[in-house]
Amino acid sequence: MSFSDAELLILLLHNSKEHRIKGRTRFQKIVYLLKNQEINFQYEFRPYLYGPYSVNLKKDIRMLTKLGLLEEESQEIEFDGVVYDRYVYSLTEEGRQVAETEAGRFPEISGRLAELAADMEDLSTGSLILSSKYVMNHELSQE
Amino acid sequence: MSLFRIKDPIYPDFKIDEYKSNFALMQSYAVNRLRFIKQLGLKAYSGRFPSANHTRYEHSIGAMHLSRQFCDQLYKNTQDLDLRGSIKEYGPTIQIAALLHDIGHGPFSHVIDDILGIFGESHEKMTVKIIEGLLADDIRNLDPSIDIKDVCAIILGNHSEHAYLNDVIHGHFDVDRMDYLARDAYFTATEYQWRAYSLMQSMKISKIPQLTNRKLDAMKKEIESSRIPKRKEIRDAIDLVKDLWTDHVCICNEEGVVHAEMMLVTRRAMYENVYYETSSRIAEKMISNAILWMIKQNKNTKDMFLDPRIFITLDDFELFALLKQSGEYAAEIVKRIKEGRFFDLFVEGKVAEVDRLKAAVIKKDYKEIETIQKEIAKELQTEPERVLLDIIVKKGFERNRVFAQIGGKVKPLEEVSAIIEALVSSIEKEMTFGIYVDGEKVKKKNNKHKQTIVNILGGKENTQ
Repeated sequence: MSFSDAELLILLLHNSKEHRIKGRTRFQKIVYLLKNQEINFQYEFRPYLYGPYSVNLKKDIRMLTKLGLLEEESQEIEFDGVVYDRYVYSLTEEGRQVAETEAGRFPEISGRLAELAADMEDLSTGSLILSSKYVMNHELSQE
Repeated sequence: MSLFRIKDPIYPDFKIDEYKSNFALMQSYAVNRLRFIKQLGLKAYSGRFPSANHTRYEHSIGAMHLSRQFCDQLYKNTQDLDLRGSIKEYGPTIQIAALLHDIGHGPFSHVIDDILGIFGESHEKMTVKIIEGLLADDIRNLDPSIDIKDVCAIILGNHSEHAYLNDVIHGHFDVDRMDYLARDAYFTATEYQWRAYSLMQSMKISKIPQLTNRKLDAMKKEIESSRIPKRKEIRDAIDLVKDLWTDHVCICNEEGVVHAEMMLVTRRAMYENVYYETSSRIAEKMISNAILWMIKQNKNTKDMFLDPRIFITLDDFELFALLKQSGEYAAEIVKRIKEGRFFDLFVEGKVAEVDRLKAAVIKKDYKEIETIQKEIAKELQTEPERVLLDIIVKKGFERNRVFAQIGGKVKPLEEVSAIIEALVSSIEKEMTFGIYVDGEKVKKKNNKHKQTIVNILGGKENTQ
């Protein structure tokens, strides 16, 4: 049984709260931390301004959006008196159908993703950035 | 060699003396080989850009030259003394990284990228293999203080000590991109009079503002009460972590923003008119199909693309010879490229509208894509290698990746410039596909057949 990264992303969204992930940065950090917890993502991450970042992950998110499985919605949020744009990703109707079929076929991985996604749900994006920076720094210093 | 001047149409002449320390490396076999690899693949052999004959070698020299100037500018414009010290310290390493950043490219540049991709490799990985395996001694001989690991990390953009190092060659406004955009635009006459040097003059290294202690404490609490692994270690290490990777290259004045706009306009023009031009795309797809055919006939040839020691003996001309030697289909393709007899574009469309192909793309299922190709060939009553299925993903410009510091505030570039905001939205493109067929062998080519092909791809009736 093997998954492509894109399929795992669909399953991840399916198992996230309200089937959505709020923010591109948040999306990146969640996938990075999942990869460090034995979820078999192939993405390679490099240290960037806000912690680990993978170009291929960005490409896959964009691909799924273009193919009509993910929906990207722009939202304005306020932080420290400054207004920022944030992108909220959610599954489209078609994406949900694909996800349900996959979740039915592979309940084990789907359940594990639900568990791990719930663990990260309460953390703010800032905390996720700091945590993943720590994990990546640790990983790079081990090499 | 002391009075040797490099003549380059993109930059004013520069003395080779300035790069004396790298001269041995510039003359090494692995670097010199880049003279025989065209920067834009088969663009010069097809379509509208007969002048696109420039090679990876001149691009590499150009990138090295720019990297030196870039470091000088960063040094001049950056105030932080630690960062200035680090620019001085890493300067020679950055120059070597810039010179070697493309050394893992194969014949016709991106044609081989597709082949490497199928085997789970990439030109970046190959670059590292070549540097570590074949050039490490040469680099040590030049300057024993240079760490090979630093060179590779700067090329791959994963240097852990300073994030700005990752922006110099692997960023968004890096010396690689500055050189290839200016150079490709010049040789394809898509020029907008944009110059890298003007942009660099307005760049510096900046630090992202650090978090306040109150916010940090709140985050520590949040992490500690969460269920993520290593939460205790993370909490204890947060004071250390908050300082990591916060330095980055940034644009520091309004003039710089104007030059950045011009660079992105050039980039858009290149993507629209040059990089995805259909006829050269067909030629490249023909060559990569011929290579796959050759590997199928003779499994040993696969190693030529995976073993760095053999890989660096390959260049554009060697590849043509190799394909010719393999005979039959491969030789025929080379002959047809030389005679300008390309396959024809038969059907094109959006991947999102053809379900079967879409599923295969999401699953990265190369076998299924091959099966689809075979079914189309069968429908057209021809051999599978007479039909090529091309999936085209156009690159876009990302938000939140390049920053400008204006009036003391660091902001994403697209927020500072309305032109860039408009460009970001317009560069976003649909994922498309193209079916190319050998017009000399396939006679069945009317609208009815087009519709059948769309059906095979999983399209609904009359989506054409």
